[in-house]
Amino acid sequence: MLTAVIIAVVIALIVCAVLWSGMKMSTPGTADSYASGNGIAVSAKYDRFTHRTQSRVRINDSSK
Amino acid sequence: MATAITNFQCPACTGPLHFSPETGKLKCEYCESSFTPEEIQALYEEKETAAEVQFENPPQWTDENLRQMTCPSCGAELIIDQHTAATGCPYCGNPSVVPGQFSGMRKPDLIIPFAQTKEQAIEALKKHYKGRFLLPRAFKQQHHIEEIQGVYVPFWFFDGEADAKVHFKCTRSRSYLSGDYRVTVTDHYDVFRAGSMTFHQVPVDASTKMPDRHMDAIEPFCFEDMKPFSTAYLPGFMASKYDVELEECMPRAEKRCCESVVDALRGTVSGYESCVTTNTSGKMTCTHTQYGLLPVWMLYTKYKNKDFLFAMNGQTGKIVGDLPVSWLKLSGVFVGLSAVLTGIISLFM
Repeated sequence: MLTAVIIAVVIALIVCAVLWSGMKMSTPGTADSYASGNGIAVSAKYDRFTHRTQSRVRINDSSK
Repeated sequence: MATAITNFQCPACTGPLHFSPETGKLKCEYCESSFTPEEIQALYEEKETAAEVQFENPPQWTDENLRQMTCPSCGAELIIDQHTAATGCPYCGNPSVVPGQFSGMRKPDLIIPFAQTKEQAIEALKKHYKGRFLLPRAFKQQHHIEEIQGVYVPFWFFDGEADAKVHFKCTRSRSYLSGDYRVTVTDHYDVFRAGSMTFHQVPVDASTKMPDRHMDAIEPFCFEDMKPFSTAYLPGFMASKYDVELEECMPRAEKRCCESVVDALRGTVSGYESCVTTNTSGKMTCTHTQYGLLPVWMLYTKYKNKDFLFAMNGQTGKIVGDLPVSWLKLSGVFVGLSAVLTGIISLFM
C-alpha cells in the first residue's frame, strides 16, 4: 500500500509540475534563429583518451 | 509655449490618421481614405523638419527628463518623458509623433510595421487564457484586456561572427560477465572543439522600460518584412527611442551567440555515452550594427498586488507572459490525482 501511495504521489507531483510550468513563459538562451545558413565551422578538434576505470559488481544468485 | 508635435492629418478631410496593420496604410477614421506611409512621409517632411528644430530648442520646459508638448488637435498641454517618440493625447485621443526623437543619430534604420491589429491581439490573449485550468477565474474577470497597447520597442541589431572553444569530459563503456561478477570498463576522454558561426541581425531590446525576458521570449521576428524607418508608421501606437546604449547591449548579443556556438559544437561530439561540458569560452566580433523599432502589443495588469505583463509579437502574434496560478486548484489536482492513482495502483499490486 505504501509503495502505491509513493508512486501515486510522485506521478501527481510530475503532473502538477507540468501544469505549473505551462503557466510560465520560457525564454530562448541562444541566437539560433539568426545564424546564417552555413551553420558551425569547426576550426579545431581532438578526442583524447585520458584513462580507463573498471568496476565489478557481484551478480546476485538467489539459488544459494 | 510648448513644443509642437506632429500629427498626421488626412489630406482629404484633416482628420487624424492611424496606421492600419491590416492594410499597411495610414487610414483616416473619418472619411476612410487610405494613404501609403511613403505618401504621408513626403507630405509631412517639411513640417517634421521644422518641428525637429523646435524640439532641439525647447522654449521653456527645463526638466531634463520631461518635455512639454502641445496637442495639435485639441491644444492640450502634454508632458511626456524624454524618450517618448509617439503617443496619444489623453484628452482627445489624437495620435501624435514627437519630432526630433528620431532625427540625426537617433533615427532608426529600420522598422517592422505592426501586422496584428488590436482586435487580433485581444483575441489572441483570450485564446492564451483558454484551457489553462490553473488560471484563477477572478484573474480573467478582473484584468483589463482592452487596455492592451501597441508599442514600437527600440532594438539594436548585431551582425557578426561568434567564436567559441569548448572542453568536454566524455565516457564510453562496455560490460561483460566474469564469473559471478559483471565487469564494466569505462574509457574517459578529454574532448575539445573550437568553431565559429555567423549571425545576422541578432536583436537586443534597447529600452529599460521593457523587461529583457519578455522581449527575448517574443522572438523570432521575420526580418523580411523590415522597412526603412519612417515616422508615418507610428501614428496610433506608442513609441520611444532607445535609452540603453549600443555598448551596453553588446554583451547580451555576444552571450546568446556564443551559447548557440557552444550548442552547435556540442552537436559535433558523438559516439559517447556521456558528455559533460567542463569549460567554455567565447567572444563575438561585431561587424555591423543597426537600430530599429519592432512592434509589440503590451498589457500590464495586476492581480493580488502582483504585476503581470503580457507581450505579443506585433508581427507574428506570439504571446508571452507568466500567468498567475490558483494554488487551491493546484492542491486539488495533486490530492485528487494522488488518491485516484493510489486506488488504481493498489488494484494491480
